[in-house]
Amino acid sequence: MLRSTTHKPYWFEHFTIERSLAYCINYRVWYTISMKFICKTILKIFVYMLVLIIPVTLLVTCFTLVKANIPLWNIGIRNILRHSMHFLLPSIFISYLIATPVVVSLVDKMKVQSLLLLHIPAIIAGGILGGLLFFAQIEKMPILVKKDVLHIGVNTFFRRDVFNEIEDRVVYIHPYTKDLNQLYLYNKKDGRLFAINGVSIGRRGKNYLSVDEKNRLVRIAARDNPHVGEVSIPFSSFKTGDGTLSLSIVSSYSNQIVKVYRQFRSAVSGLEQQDRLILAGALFLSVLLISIPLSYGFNDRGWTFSGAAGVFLVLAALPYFYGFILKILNRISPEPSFMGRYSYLVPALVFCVIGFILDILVKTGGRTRRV
Amino acid sequence: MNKITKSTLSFLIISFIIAFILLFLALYVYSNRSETDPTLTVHSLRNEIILRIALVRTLKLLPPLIICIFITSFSIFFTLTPFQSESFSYPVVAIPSFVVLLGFMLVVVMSEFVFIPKLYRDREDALFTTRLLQSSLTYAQKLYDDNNPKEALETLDIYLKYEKNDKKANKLYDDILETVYRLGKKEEIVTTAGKKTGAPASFYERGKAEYEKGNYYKALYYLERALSLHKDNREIKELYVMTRERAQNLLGSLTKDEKDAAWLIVQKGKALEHLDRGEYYEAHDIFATLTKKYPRLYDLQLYLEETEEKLTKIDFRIDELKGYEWLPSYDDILFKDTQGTLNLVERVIPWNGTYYLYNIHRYRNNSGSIAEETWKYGKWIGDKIRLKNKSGFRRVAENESNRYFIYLAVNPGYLLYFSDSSRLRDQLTVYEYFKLTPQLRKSGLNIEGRYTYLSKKLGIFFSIYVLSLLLGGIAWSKRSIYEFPPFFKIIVFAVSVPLLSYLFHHLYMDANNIFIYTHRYLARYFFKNMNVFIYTAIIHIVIATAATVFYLSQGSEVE
Repeated sequence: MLRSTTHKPYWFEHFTIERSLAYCINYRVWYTISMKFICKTILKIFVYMLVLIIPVTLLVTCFTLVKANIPLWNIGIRNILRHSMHFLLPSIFISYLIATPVVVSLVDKMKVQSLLLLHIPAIIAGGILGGLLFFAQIEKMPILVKKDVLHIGVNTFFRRDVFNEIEDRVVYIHPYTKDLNQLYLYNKKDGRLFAINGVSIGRRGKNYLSVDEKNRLVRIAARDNPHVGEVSIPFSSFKTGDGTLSLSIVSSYSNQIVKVYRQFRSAVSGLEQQDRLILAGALFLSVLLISIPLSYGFNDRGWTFSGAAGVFLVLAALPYFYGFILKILNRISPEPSFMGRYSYLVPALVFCVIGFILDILVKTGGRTRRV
Repeated sequence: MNKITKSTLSFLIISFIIAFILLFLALYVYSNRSETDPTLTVHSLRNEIILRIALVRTLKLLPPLIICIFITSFSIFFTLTPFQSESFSYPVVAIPSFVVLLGFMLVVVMSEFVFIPKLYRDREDALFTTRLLQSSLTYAQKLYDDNNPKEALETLDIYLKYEKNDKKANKLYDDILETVYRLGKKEEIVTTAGKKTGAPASFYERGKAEYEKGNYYKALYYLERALSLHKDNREIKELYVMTRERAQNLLGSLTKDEKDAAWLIVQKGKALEHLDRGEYYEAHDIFATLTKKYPRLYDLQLYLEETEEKLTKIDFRIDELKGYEWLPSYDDILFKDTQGTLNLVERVIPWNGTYYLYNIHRYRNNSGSIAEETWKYGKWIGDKIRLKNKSGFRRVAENESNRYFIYLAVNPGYLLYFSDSSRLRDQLTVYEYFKLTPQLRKSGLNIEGRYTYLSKKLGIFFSIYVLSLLLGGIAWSKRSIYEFPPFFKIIVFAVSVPLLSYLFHHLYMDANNIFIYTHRYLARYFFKNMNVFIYTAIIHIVIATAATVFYLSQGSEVE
């Protein structure tokens, strides 16, 4: 009986003492149906997440490499795999954050007893992931390795016997023995070309070409040529490829994410480990509280494609929305006294409140149009 | 063809045309506003350039546009009233849509391989012409200020050919003309112009005319030329004999010494033999000596001019290059020649189908050391660049040819973009890419291999195919079942679907780049020496087959 009526937002719209009692009486039935729904939804989230992990990890890896100004065309697949391990955890969480609203936007509304219930699978899935992360941290698993694992060299940046185009220079390397090269360094600004003979790869001899990973520089030294001396080319001068990440719309979006991330990172910099975890949890909850009602609002069984496409807009808008609210909060900088030492939670709680309001709005105003 | 098939075709084709036009108009407005290049001052060319930029941008957005049309059609259009009939079934819309998709793909293939490169090249040409016109206006003003109205008018003509209504240029033109009238140089200019544009008379007619005027040496030159062409013509022979007699009489007055006259005749004969054999350097040397010694013998003068004209096809005069110095140029061009020598050219001027080079620095690899050599001038002649420091014509000995000539693997026009190879890549049609890639790489340009290029293009085409079918199929299975979709949902759809199509298309191309990237490893360990194009094609065919099966497996029922 309950199943046939749960397509409506039941207890929110028709909350009475009698009906609450009816729930209590039938709690076993309610519990069984809800648990089945919750488990199925968690499973769906994990399946979608697993499907997304590989492309998302690749994208995140490439994004970080591009941001580090390392050309992708010759970095080597081993380097990419090692580097992607470094970003596996954030990639899992991103996949999870994408998978959750997608699942919500596609869920059968007839089976949703309440919007509140819809948050539970997402929170449980997030909790499982958080638990795994905690376990990985305790066990010191390799996915948490923080040191830079990239092995880059001259070949990452230069090709032989062609003009390597760098921001305001052109470098031409011609090997004439196994160890020695002729190097031509052309400066686009003044049109001068320097020819350097006997250049070795790595810091050897008077003339050399080497990669200084620590300072993120490529060094060209010609000690016997006073006009050249030592030239340092920053990694940022090299072209990093022309994929999706170089599209202006994508780079603007990714920059916004980085901007918001930096704002939060600076906020947690002075906090203790426990407080950091609390803040991260509150933020995580706020993302769910905002994205789930919006995705649920877009969910439309009469036109599922439009609903699923709407999730894309939600995901696109979230970083800008967070950035906007943070900007306002920075201006007014509220410091409520009742929060005591937990005042750092204000932004996260503001987002949670916004999410809660969205929940109520969707619940009360978001009736599905009858087909 | 039944009604639903017709509706399917018309919906797809009309929506494509409308979307294309709207996109083009939007991009034209955007390009017009965003293009702030200060060099685009020539109005007519600015429009031409903006138009091409907008068209290129539109053509590059064709793949996402097609994907978007397919999603929209399967999600909304095919659920509207024209498709609500008893005879409706999924294959009735799926099969015509598939055929239209193949047609759209053909358009994209043509645009990627031919139209876009051509538009890029036209744009580059228009950009150079803009610079040329700006230089011509400045140079015309300078010539006028230097009291050289004749050349100023000729230079200004280049500008006025494009900008007839430019007030500044027209005023300058009027000022120059006024000066010309005042100085009485009008006739000279008109005569020069007339000479250039008038049809050349035949050698015989010109010889006869000169004979009648009493210019026997000139007549002799023309008749000798006429006789070499028509050896058996009696009329020419007779006139030639008469002219030669008169000329010899005159020669007597010029060279009193008989030995001298005999030497002159022998030398001229030798020079003519060289000329006929195509040994222009030798002929030029003799004619130059003779003309210097006998400046009044006009036939020698004319022979010298003819020889020099022939020589300019295999050599050049430095004056020619000095005359073009005012033209706009591509500066500091670096390239490698076929001998592996690196060359840095300070200025390259493309003009009248050839290239003029100024200040050429050559860096030769001499068994491990680098030797630098500098030349003042160079000209692209035939398939090589002739280098010169001094004026005059000199035959280059065979063993010196590597010094006096630069042998290039490609036309210098391709080397102008050495520091931005993507600008060159954009301009190459598929035919040029296939033909020129090895030569361009030999010249030092950082350009990807021809099969990698094809594989990348394959990614674009298969992106359209796979995503249109896959997303079209998904859109159909999750289509709108409203009589007319709610307004809010339509807005969400209209905002998100074009962005999704654009993003998915680029993500597919990224995936294609990953396929190409993995080829180097798989070809090393598993598929020995497998061509990257075949490798990528196999992967795409597998994906495309899966997408086709998914697309065709859809039904008419609603989920």
